[in-house]
Amino acid sequence: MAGRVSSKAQDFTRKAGGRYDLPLNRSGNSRFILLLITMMTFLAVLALSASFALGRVAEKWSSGLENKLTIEIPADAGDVDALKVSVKKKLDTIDKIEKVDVMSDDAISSLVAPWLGEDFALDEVPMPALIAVETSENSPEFMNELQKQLSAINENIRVDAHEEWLDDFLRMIGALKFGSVFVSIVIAATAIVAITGIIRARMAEHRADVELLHLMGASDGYIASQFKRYALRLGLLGGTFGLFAGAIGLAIFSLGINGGDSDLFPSLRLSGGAIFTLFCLPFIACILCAVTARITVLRSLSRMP
Amino acid sequence: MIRFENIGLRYGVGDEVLKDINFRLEPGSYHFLTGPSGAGKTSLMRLMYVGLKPTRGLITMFGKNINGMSRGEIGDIRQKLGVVFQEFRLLPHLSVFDNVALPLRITNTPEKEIQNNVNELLEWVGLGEHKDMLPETLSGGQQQRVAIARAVIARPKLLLADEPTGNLDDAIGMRLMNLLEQLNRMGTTIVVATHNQAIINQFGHPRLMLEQGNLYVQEPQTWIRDKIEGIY
Repeated sequence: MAGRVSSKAQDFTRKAGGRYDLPLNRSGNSRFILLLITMMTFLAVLALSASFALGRVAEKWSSGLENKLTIEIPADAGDVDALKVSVKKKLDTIDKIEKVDVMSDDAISSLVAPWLGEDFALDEVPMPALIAVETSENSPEFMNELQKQLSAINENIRVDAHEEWLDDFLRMIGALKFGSVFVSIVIAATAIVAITGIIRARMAEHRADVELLHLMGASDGYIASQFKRYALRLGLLGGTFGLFAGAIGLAIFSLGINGGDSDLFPSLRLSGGAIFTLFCLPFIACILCAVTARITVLRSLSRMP
Repeated sequence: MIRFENIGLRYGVGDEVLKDINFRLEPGSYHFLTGPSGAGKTSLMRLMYVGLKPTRGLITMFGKNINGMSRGEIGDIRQKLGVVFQEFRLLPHLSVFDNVALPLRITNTPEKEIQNNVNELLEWVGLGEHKDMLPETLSGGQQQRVAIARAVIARPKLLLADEPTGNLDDAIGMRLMNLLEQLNRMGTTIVVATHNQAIINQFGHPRLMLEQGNLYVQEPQTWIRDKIEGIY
């Protein structure tokens, strides 16, 4: 029969906590809010994943170069081969030096190949000799002492602890990470502003019904709980949809960057902690929605008679 | 139960629509509120259900001055009232059952008790068969009965009814007036705003007569005598 609400359906929605005294779930606005939260969560997934990936880049580079330094013997320093032998001998006598690797010409060629080409002949330009060293200590005092001892062999020999460029690189990565987190915060703030506006519009739309509930003795908390529950549900749904959309987006993006680790950037394989954080996003979204809705409704109600 | 002292009410900067209103309603009393259209009946009703605050004067309800009340206290006062609005004000998306159950749900009454009480009351007002219907599918008279059932379901201490028989045929109107009489005998204080002289004459309760914003309280013997003498 038209206009009849099934008793079983009523009982079910009541038991499921889905009954609203206000017709909050019967509006096209609900779909709009759902879409908005989905998109916001999607963007948050991307921004946070970028932050996590940049964290991995920084970690990879800083841990990869930890306690490693390169000793550079310039081509014009004299008899480079003899200097290589002298430097190696000297390094072998220092306790805190754990490994010394005099780089071959082939290894140096492969290092400069990306800039000078694969068929580049090392004899064509004067190239420095490089010695890769692993140490058990990287304090500035140790570095200064090492530099002093090697300068005694030849004053042109230089100890490169990669600090200069690594610091710049890590600073840039840090700025990008901060940018990603900042974007996530902006997304959350935008969502709060949008939800506040939408909830206010719904309050205005149902003002007469809200007044009626008030006149029956409903407390502000009772009315706010209706909006809160509505926002909670939409937040959870939108957050879940956004998370899945974000996961698909990340998978596509990950395939786009060679499908695995590159020298500069690691793959988008996320750590357990990062995945856990991303899985928390739907819950964060629904809590954000619920709290925003509750505060907005209570503030609006406080202005009503 | 309710005391109005020197109450004045104006909307915005206009003239006062209610002037120096003074009356008190004792617990268990029954009054008709009458007066010509525009006399301020609805405004007075709104003051009584704390839908408005007066521009001046003192309203005491259930022993408390409403001017100093917090929002929570006003909510508690409203839970002791039942209001039948002239325009029903049913929630269109809720079934008849849920509309009537609303005051009980607001006070967190157990669901089993809600089921029993609402079903019983709906049977009594002749809407047992319609409990799952939406209000828009009901006739005006049926909607009014839903509104009355909603107002009385929580056994209010004070029932305010604005033209409760306006859309009902005589038989059902009389049946509902008898329901109000029963509620009154059980201790509910009642104020019925109505133009229906037949009902006023039949039940013979004191009248609160509003004219141009002024209130006159008339005991039945007075207005019956006045009526006989042709004053009203």
